[in-house]
Amino acid sequence: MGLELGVLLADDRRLAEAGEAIRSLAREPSGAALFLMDDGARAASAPLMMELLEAGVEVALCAADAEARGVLPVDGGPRFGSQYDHAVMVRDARRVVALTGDGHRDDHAPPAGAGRRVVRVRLTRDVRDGKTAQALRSAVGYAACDLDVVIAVEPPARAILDALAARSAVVSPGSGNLPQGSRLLQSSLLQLPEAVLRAVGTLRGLGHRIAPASDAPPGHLEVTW
Amino acid sequence: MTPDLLTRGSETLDLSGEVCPYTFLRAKLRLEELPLGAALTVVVDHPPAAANVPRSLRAEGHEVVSVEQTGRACRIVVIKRAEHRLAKKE
Repeated sequence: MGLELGVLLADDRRLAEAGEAIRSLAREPSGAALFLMDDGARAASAPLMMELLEAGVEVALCAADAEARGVLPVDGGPRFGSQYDHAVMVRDARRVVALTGDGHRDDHAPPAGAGRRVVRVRLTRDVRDGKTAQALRSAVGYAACDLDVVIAVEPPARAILDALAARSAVVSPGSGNLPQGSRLLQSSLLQLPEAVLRAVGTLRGLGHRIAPASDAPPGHLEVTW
Repeated sequence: MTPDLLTRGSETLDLSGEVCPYTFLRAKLRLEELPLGAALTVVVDHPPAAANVPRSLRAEGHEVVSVEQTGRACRIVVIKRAEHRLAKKE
């Protein structure tokens, strides 16, 4: 049978929407998986969560996010997992719904047999918004799980592109004024929180694409943050 | 064979201070460089990683021989049992 539906929940206020998606899109609760991360981890012990678990939905959460929010394991509650579980869900589910906050709802069913999945992670917030770092951290998890990742950068997160452009100007052969380029690079890098910087460096190092959203190719599925 | 014998002369990857998903990613990348059958000791100190890294490595087809908690540090001994390479794009 395989996994019919995977739901990513990164906002505990949208748990009811996640539950409704599972009820309406999965033939059986046991064919659905729910992954909680970021503020979604706060929903771990909600009554509806317990109902979903009792119905047979496989629920895991990001243990690091739970720890950061003081969420503790409860008997019969979600499994304390990792971004690996999230990535496997996105890799294997026939349909993926992502509820990351601010009303975004991504809902995609990649074509069967399309080969290696491409996940387009769209960044719509400022680089200093914690959700941008979370988006990129989850993207690193996707990359670790053999998914192809495209980071589509919307204008609010363009500091990422500025830093990449400055770096490119410094390392390109024949780049004119190196000291000036270095200062520009340093200034650009300082705009990025460490978690963002690290994730961007990791994704680039693994060869994944980071581009303005207007130029970034489509994926088999998209997750908007 | 005991974990001690398995890991004699083998490599240790110290991931102290690392958190998910870098714990798993770095362990996976290091295993890629080793021959099949080689042992690797992975040290983590982020509590969730003690359970999650072994589970992820097993799911990738490797053999987790032991998981030993000493204070905050956790030593995971894994034998490479699967050839797997994260594709580089571009």
